[in-house]
Amino acid sequence: MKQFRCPILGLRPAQEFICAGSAIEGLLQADSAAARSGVYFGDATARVKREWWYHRPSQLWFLIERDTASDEVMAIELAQPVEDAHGA
Amino acid sequence: MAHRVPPQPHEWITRDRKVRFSFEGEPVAAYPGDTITSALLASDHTLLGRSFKYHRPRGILSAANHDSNVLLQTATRTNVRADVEMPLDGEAYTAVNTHGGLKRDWGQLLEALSPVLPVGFYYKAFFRPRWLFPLWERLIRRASGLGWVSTDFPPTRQATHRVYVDCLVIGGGAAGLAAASALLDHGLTVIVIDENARLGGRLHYSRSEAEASRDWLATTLSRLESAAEAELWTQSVAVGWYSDHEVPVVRADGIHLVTARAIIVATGVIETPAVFRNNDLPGVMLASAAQRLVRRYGVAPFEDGIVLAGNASAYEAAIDLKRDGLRITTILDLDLPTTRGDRAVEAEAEGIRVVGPIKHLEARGSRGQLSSVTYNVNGSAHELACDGLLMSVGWAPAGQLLHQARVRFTYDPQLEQVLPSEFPAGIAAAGRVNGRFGLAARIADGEAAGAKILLYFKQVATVVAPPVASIPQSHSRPWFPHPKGKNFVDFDEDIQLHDFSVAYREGFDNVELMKRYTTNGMGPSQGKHSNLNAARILAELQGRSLAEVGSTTARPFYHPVTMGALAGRRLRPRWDSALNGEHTRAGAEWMDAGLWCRPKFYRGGSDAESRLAEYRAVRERLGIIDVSTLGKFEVIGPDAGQLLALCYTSAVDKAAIGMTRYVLMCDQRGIIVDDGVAARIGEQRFYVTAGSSHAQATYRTLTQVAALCRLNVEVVDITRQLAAINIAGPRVRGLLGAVTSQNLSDTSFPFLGVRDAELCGVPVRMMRVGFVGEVGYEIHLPYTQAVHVWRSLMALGAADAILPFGVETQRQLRLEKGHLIVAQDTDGVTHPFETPLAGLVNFKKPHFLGRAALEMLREAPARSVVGFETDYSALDLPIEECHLVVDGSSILGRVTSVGYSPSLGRTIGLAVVTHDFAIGAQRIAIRLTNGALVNARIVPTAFYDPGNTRQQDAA
Repeated sequence: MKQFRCPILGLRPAQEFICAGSAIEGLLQADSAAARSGVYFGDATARVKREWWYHRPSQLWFLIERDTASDEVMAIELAQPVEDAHGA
Repeated sequence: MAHRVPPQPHEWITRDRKVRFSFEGEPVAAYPGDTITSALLASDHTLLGRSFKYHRPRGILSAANHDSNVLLQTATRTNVRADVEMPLDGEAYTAVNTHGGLKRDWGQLLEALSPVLPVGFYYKAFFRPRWLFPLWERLIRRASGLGWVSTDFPPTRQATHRVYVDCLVIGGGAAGLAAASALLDHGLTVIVIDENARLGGRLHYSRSEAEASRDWLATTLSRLESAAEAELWTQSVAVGWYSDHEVPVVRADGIHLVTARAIIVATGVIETPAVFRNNDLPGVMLASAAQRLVRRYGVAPFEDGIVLAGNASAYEAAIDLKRDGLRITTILDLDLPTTRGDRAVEAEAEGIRVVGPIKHLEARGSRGQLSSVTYNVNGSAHELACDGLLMSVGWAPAGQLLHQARVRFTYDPQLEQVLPSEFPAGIAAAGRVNGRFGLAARIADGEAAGAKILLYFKQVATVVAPPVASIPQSHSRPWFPHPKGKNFVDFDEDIQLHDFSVAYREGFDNVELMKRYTTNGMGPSQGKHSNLNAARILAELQGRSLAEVGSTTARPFYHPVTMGALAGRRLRPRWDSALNGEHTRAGAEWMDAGLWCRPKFYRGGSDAESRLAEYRAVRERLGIIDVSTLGKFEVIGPDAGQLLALCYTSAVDKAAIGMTRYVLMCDQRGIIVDDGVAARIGEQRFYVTAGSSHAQATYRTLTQVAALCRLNVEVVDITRQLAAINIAGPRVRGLLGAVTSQNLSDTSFPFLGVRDAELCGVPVRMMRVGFVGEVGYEIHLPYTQAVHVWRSLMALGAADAILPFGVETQRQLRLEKGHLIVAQDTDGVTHPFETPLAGLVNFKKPHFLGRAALEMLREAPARSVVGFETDYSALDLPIEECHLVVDGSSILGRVTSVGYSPSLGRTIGLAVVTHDFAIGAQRIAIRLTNGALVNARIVPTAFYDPGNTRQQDAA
């Protein structure tokens, strides 16, 4: 089982997470045609990607930089810093 | 004949007691420590099973968990591995896959058909003529498979254990034990696992190695046993490798998921058979099988033995076995014996005749048992009588776990073996799987692997790896063609030598294609004994080297795992509404709804009567339903409105304070994924509900978008902190007016309004909703107060004959209003422009989920949701959900909701049909389960009270 070394949760098994890829980032794309192409012709090549992973027990989102070819994790961070969420 | 021999120096059996079991109805006695196979051989049962395809007699092959032709059946278990399992006292075992018993299996008649059943025959036959296929299917299903599964098994479940360790050592032979020992005293935890009943591997069953290593093994084992940081697991099989060194280990009490920071693989090698005519006769076995039998269990599997040699270790085995007290008359060498150096001289000194190089080897049998071998040497033919032929021609590395762990292998032509060459971090190999064969080399290699792992843990260590063995340990061409065949490469599937030529000729010339066409390696042993020979044969057919041919991928699981072990202990969280006790007392019929369960309806009379009573209560008086399963979120902050406008399709942020909006959420493909109600509580505060089974996903989306857009907003999931009750019906205001100070008139609390108020003395949030088509209030309140409020409302409503109603009645009521249920009336490709909800999409907003896709989908919707009605009454309603809407032979769509409307006196429903058809269509034809067609009129989806007049103040 894949394990992620989370900045605030420590070492957690991948099965506690849901991988959401990076599709959400098309939401803010200004050009509709480009956004559509992202929806229907997403980049499926194996390479280093930044993915959104949701940790179910803590209900927190993480951004994980991962090489999808080797399954190696380069970086992991909270998607929204905790102080942000509290309006600081 | 096979028989028990006098006690051996370190045998695994204890001879003071007997275990009694039966095999094929005959009583058999075993000693504690025996395997089923060793006990059977001790009483001269040499016929132990039948082959899969031709039902040929088979016996012992490996005694090392690879004897896939000796699988047994009991009343409750199947495919019991007789070569490694110990017999249970009083158990009755039979062989699997026989027709009429093991001895008189009429399935062996199939062998006569073998000339017309060439490899791949089932791909070429059986599909023409087509109408015969059902017959073939029945026959094939009866013929295939091994044991049968008892569905009457005791329902016990094995928990899955999670184990964390610094280093997992897989394989408890010389190399594994040396590696584990090297890791001690460094502050690291270590687990050593081995599939055998005792640790030591070859150090038990090879006489010469046992003698040479006696002191080392005793010292090493006692050191490991007394070390607090080490655990030793026997009868434990590592069946796979997963990311970050997670290794499932199958043990008697279930699967142990071991997550290690580093692993050492010392899994050794698997002895592979030679391929010659009748190499499957009982009595033909691997030399290591005979060694295991005699040294572990004190069993001689034959009277007169001959060793077939393809390497130097065959000579060691022959000499060891002879010294163990077995009769070994001859060594038949595939090559010139003088190439074996001193070994041949030693063997002859031991009184064993050495012959070679031999050609045209063939085994002969009488009454299903080996009786002699014939061969040519120097051009003359010979026949030797024997009842044991011990094959020792080569070894296949047990490197499956290393392959899975992405270790690279390269072929060593000197050794005739693939060797691990490039390792990812935190993994090492040692011993014979790593090309070290001699005892001293294996121990040194284990220590080197331990040192490598110490370096990985940033500790001080020196790696001194011994050289790889310098002479070939495997023969490069251990097969003998024969015009009449029956020279088996794969014993699981009865694949013969010429099957490979046929497959190659027909174009299946790649190692993966050949595997699938011939089915080589697809039986219960997964090619452990056959894959190496198959690859060598293919290499010769291709005229290439083994390195160029490559090998098939060994996926997890390396070894068969029972369903019971895989199932684990089923732990499913369940969420309970605060009101479940009330529902049970009211006679609820339950249904699952995601993690919740909800009342389907409440049993009053017959099912139909109960539902009609609930329906009438809502339409005519008062009904009450528990809607606590709705997702409930507080969305608070300066950007609260912006977040909702980004996540939902409409301009939610424009809602007035004190009002609610029905909202729709799409994904980025524009597909409807959820609906709900967004209530504006304040300038920077919303309260949002979501569908019961989609609530968690909706929360994920809200928080993800908030994080992506760096919004200053907090989303709080209070789904399970609050309960919710919907109370509806013409008399609802009269009832609620008595328990709340909130003014319920349309002016003070309009339709779709939201108010925080006090009800029955409890602070609640009330929303005026119209889901069921009557005046209704959704009351959200603290979980702990739900029972009090529910009971108060029920008591007060008794005068109006209030009834609780279930999900089925709720669906019926909303169908009359034409309200869609997401995921019932929509599916995985439905977007708003296919539904009456198109008006909820607001393109004035520059960004929202699904906008880009919806811009395109708006132009050409593929389907439309339409309403329909027929004159069927409640009693003879034949239309069901998912019945097809058809036009002649073409399918136009399907019914998504249907039900009889008591108020309207007809059957109404929703269907999704092709958009082109829906334009201007007046009628649809629905095909029923029995094939009959019924016609229905297309009507607007707001079937009941289309003007919403029932939401207005009573006159």
